[in-house]
Amino acid sequence: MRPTCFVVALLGLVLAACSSAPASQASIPPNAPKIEANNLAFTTTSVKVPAGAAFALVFENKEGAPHNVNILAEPSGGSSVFAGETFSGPATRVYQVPALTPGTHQFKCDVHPAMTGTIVAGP
Amino acid sequence: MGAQRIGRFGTGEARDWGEVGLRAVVAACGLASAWIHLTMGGLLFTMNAAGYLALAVALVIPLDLARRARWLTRLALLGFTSATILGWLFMGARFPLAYIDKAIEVVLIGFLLADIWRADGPPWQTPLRVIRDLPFRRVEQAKPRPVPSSTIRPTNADIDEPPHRKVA
Repeated sequence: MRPTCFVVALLGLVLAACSSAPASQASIPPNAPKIEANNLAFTTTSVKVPAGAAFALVFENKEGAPHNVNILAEPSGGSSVFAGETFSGPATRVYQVPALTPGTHQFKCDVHPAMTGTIVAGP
Repeated sequence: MGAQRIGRFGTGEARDWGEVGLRAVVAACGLASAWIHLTMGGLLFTMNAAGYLALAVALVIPLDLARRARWLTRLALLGFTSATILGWLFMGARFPLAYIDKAIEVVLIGFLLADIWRADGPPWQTPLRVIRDLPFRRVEQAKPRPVPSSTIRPTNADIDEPPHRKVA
């Protein structure tokens, strides 16, 4: 393969991969807890969810930078309980989160670890 | 196409079209990775993008200073890309764009090693060559050695012949 063809193919692959996919709008529950991200920060820094039951979590990424929601076991971090898909925005995903133990959990973005917030699982 | 010479040996210029192709692919991969890191946002990714951009430009820009430092640029890009991959392995997020970027960086390293080999010879010989080519060593080598006076033989021009013996 000629170098020029290779470069063109490579750049095409990159561009195709980087183009943002259409937002997943399928079955967004009306009262589902929602987390938003914009300007390299979670604009929703605290969210309440039901404890002991699986739930749907809506995550809206409002910018081009890729983000996700990774829920950790402890208020100050710990092991990952649930890691949502990382995607570039503007787009929305609905995560199906397994049941959380009652209490406060930290959530963060895997790409930008400085982006954090808390999820309070309660009755 | 054969190995048509298009530059000067040892000046950092590409010597044939194969080398031009190698360098173009390396620069393209560097720019692609820079763009991907730029889209990630945040200071660390932006600095990484700036590093890729600077090194990719330094690899191809036709300036004399850049030409003379091509070997260093290649080694710097090799180290920078390796460090980026290692950093991602240890603390990077796993998602499709990251995998694509790592694939680009692996391709970059492969072509860069080929470019280093073609332009500078085997990479393990580069440190020796760098030491040999240090500026102060070149000056030392260029300086004429003092010759003992006993070994100087007079030339015809040095012999002061009497005027009447000189041929008009």
